This record gives sequence, structure tokens and C-alpha cells, in this order.
Amino acid sequence: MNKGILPGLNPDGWRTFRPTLATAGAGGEVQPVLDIIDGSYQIGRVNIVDHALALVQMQMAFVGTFSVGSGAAYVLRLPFPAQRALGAIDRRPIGVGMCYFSFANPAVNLPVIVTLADPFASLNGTEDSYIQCMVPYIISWGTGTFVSGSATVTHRCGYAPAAEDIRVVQQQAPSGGQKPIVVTNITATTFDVVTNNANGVSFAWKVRGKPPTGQTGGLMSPTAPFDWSRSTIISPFGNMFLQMKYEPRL
Amino acid sequence: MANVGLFSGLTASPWRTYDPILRGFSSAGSGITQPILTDPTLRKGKYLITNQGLVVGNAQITLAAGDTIGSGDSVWGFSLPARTIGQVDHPIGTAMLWQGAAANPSAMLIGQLTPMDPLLPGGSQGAQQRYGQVFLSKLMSWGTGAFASGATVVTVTHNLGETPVESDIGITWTNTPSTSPAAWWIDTITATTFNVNIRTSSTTTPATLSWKIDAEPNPSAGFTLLMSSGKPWPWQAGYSIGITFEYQLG
Repeated sequence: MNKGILPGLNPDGWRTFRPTLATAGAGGEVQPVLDIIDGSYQIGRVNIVDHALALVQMQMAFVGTFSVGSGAAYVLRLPFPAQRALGAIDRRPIGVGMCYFSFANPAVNLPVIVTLADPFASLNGTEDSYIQCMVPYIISWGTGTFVSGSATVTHRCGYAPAAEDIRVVQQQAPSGGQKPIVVTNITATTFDVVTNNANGVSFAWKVRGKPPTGQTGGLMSPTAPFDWSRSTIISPFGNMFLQMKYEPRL
Repeated sequence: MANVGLFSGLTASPWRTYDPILRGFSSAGSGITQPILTDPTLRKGKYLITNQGLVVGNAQITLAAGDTIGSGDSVWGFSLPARTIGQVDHPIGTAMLWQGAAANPSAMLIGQLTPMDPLLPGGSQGAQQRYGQVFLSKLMSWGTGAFASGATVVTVTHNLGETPVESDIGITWTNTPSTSPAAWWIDTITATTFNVNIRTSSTTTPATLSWKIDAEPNPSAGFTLLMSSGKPWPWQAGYSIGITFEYQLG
């Protein structure tokens, strides 16, 4: 390829970069802290094709000693800013990815759609340099035990899921005739499970929640598509693997 | 345009915009009421054709309040910016089907974009090379139900667009009725409704429930695998379809 008289000025071709992860929103976010370790867990590759198309692969992992931060959405920094209308929300898909816990039980894995980042106030006009991910659902799971026929579950979804998104399956026989299990009092942190003749009986629960309403309801965040801090408990790695293509502003 | 020359700022970007549309397709070739999209500001597409004949880009259509959704179609085609000669059903991209930030919940599904099936569009033949279709992994519907005082059956209208099977339907009980239902089951499933039955009714406090259907597309219903005016859900204003694509120029 003819890269001109001064080829070093032409970014075409493959090169590596180190992506960064941030929380974004209206302000007051707590930024995540990532453990670099040997530098192989937060890596990216970019190929500029014909000086007009950026192909990007990006890996971001929570590993070692880390904190997931807090905020309305996660954003990841692009190697080159994208070309788009100034200050506009643009939810056109530019790529796909997956969010998963590896070497975990369960090895939860969700597909996500990559778009350019919204013009969050905290990004202060730099949103062209960031991407965000849209999630198809928010998932959480766990177990519990009835005490005198009721239990309060801390669900970790980050919002109040709808009742139809909550599944409860009893794991032991009741002590007598039993009413159907009822889910009530759903809040942003807990829900109650109620039945009878089930003192000491264990149950499993799962939430597969439709994203809540609002600009950031369906965006990848510290609690979407799952509570990323769970990776400290069930997995050595909480992973975001993304690929995307866009018009770069070179 | 690999060589951008000494003065790269004088070289126009090869990225182009286009105005995407939806079109109804049907094997019957007639009886289709086409969708009518009224707001061009809610339709955005951008694409690039490389020197090697690769078409790369993305697009999004958001339905406006004045739009006509249409009916009678088996499949919705999403217009592409340039002809494709790709193989039918081979993925050429990804689709994001989204109910929008204002919807509650803000449901989203990820689909696979492929070249259009060679269906008769109710007009000229051969248009399929200018359209992509979206493969669905599931159909979704959800809602609530409530038994009347003294009733042992409640009929739920599901709006799924096809007939689900029992295993696609999840029920979450949301209150403790005054009399235990003793047992419950689902029957009489049609293309529009299903019945939830209980063995014992309540008079003072009847039972209430939430329901959700996550249904595999029904193979007996023809093109039910594909996005249409009624799938994966009834489309309405504020909902959007976004695609990212890469395919061989025809």
C-alpha cells in the first residue's frame, strides 16, 4: 500500500492499544479500578483500512484486585474518535460483543450490541472517543431458604425487575399441603418470596430481567448485564470482549 | 482511496449516508399493506464501499407516531445501501431490535442480519438483493392477569403473533389469595390467548399473576423465524431496528 511520502503519519494497518474503562452518567460516578497484572487482560487491536474504516477488537477484564465502580453506564475508550453529529445520541449498532464470567459456575455469557457512547455529562464533550454496550437482559441468580414460609432475596439487579422476570423453584418437599410460591414487594434491591409449610425449605431463584426504562436502562454498567462484582466470588475473570467498525476521525 | 496524498484534508471521506426503509415481503405476493415511514429524521444509514467490493456500515429506523406499521407480510426487509450477491440466510451482520428508552420495560433483542429470501414482494421481483432480513432467536410477550372472584380460570391475551407451547409460558404468582388454589395449570392455548386454571377459587382475595412468554419460533408457521410487522413483537412508535453490516457488493 502506498502510504505517502511520510508513512509514519499514516495510521493504516494493524496496531495495538490499551483500552480504558470508565463509568459515565450525570456526574458523581465512582470510576472502576482495574488490575493490570501482566498487561494481557486489557488489550485492543485496531486496523485502519484505506484511511477510512476502523476495525477494532477490544478485551477488558476484571481480574486480580479491582473495583467495579458505580455509575449509569460503562464506556470504553476508542483508539481514534468516531465521526458523528456533535452531541447526538446515536444508537446505531457498530459492533457486537460478549460479557461473561470465565472459569465460573455458572459461566454466564451474554451477547451485547456496541454503539457510540451517549453524550453523558461526565464525558464533557468527549463522547466521540467512547463506546457503550446495550444489553438484551439483566441476569442474576441465587438460592435461599424459607423461614416460617417467607424469605427476602437480595437480587443484585440494580433495579426492580418485573415479577414475570423472576423464577423461583423449590428444592425440597414441603411439610404439608402448599400454596403456590408468591413473589411480592419487589424493590431495586430485594424481593420477597412467600409460601406455607416450607420452614427450612430451600429454593433457587433466577432473574432474567427486561431492561428498565430510561436512557441508561439497557446499557452495560456495573450492574448490567450482571453485577460485575460477582466475579470476585465465582470467577477469576469478568470479561468484556468486543469488536466493532466505525468511521474514524483521523 | 489508499493513498490520501500529501494533503489528506483535501480528500473527501468515502463514507456515504443513505435513507433506510422497511418493506413487507410475502410468499403469497399479494395482500400486503406496506409500512409507511413518515419522519426521515428518524432513519439514518451510513456506509462505505472498499476498493475490494466490501460494503460496510450501519443503519437505524425508529418508528414515528405517524407511521403505518403495515400488515399481511411474512417478513420485513430492511433496505441495504447497495446490492448484495450474498447467499440467502448467510449472516452479513447483526440487528438490534429495541423498544426504545422511553418504553417500560426497554426490551431489546439481538438478531442476525442476512440477505433477503427471494420472496415476492407484492411488486417487482428481484428487489430482495437490496434488502436484508432479520433472524430471531425468540419471540417475546409479557403481562399480568387476575382471577375474578370465585373463578377457576382466567384467559390471558398474549399478542405473541403465533401459538406458543406450554413450556414457553412462565407464571409468577404475585399475591396470596384468600383460599389456596391447591394446584394450577395452563391449557387452551391459541394464537391469541391462553388459559390459566386453578383447582380452587377464591372469593375474598382472588389470585393475581404475572406471565411471560419466551417462545422459540414455531416451525409450522412458515417464516416465523424472521422479523415482520408482528414479530418479535407488535411494532409501534418509538421502537427501532438497528443494523450493522458487511457484505459483498453485487
